[in-house]
Amino acid sequence: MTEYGIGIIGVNHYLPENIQTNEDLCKVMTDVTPEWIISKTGIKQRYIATQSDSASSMATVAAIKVLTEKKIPIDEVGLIIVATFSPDYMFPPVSVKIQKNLNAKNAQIIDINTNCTGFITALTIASDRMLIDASVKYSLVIGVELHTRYVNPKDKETTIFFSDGAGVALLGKVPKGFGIINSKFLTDSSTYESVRFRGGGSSFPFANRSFSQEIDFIEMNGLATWKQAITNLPIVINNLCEKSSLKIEDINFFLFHQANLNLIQYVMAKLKIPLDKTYTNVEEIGNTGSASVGIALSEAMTFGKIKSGDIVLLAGVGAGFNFGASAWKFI
Amino acid sequence: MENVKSQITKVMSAVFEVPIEDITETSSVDSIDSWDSLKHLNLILALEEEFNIVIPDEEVGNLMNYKLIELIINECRK
Repeated sequence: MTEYGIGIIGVNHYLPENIQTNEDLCKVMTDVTPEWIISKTGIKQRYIATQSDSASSMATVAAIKVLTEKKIPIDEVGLIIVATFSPDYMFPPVSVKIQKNLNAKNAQIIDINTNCTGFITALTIASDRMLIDASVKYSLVIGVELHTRYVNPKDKETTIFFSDGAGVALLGKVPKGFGIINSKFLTDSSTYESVRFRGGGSSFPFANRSFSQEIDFIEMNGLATWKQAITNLPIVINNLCEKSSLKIEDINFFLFHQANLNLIQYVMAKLKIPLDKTYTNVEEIGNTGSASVGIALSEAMTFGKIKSGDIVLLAGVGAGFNFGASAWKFI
Repeated sequence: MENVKSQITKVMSAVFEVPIEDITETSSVDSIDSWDSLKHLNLILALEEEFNIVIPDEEVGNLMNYKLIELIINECRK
């Protein structure tokens, strides 16, 4: 056992300049109304990357903001983990580009893709690594997406949800008893094909074929996604509490992947948790994939929703489908 | 005391905003136009409150017709 914990000691985020309202969207997608989008998702607007933005540029800005705010010398960052499913290139990893941008020459790099559960997965990997290897003094955990470039603007199953941005958490050593408590992950692969983006994968390479609307846009079966989420999200939260010897009432604050306001409100009601114990920004930001938990955490902390000593539970659902939940005691 | 069937009918009528006489034992997601994903979440929470039960998460996505709802509620009340 270590003499210290690994905690989230700083957060920040970046959102691109362009805002797309439901009214803007419905000029292109004429079979739905702004009110319909709000009733189905709670989403009023989303952030769309500009032509000059890239996943690495957005992530780099967010990382610089947190390092500057916390006055951490870049040489002391020993690990950069980036959760994304819309990196700059198929390879090299986007975390390499961010390491280069930051001149973080002492940092190991890792890209991970567990879709919208990515930020929770990356936090868990980083804290595990830091608990094993004391030489890793600080870690940057970044969730970033630029996936609006992969959606069909006329597909209401996807376009009404997706938004771009980056969220970052700075991990460091904290007194024993604070920091990560535990994480729990579960995967239900029975509906593996329900949310997918096939184009460019080794089963659907670009060579010798032209652009295909079916293959080269994100596809989402809304019904399967919804069924998976309402079934398994409460289960992974309860499983985490059980393995951590925590009761739901012991959790001071809950932050979810910001996919759909109705889903978050349902999970809170199903677990008998008052709504003032969560924070949502899906209404104003939309679904930023792997970045959403990081951005929500950044805003929640900025707005003073999380106090020292609070136990905070992060939870999300990602394509596949995979589910993650992680509990942290904040310093 | 209301029986289970009449309570289910009352809840479904209120949640889906359809006349009580339109809810029958053959009612399902296919026969009630207003039974969408959002209303389904409201149905689960309303049934839990009406019967003071907790519907297992594993069953939440399956309760797509009257008969299954009745079956699960009777299981939960045992």
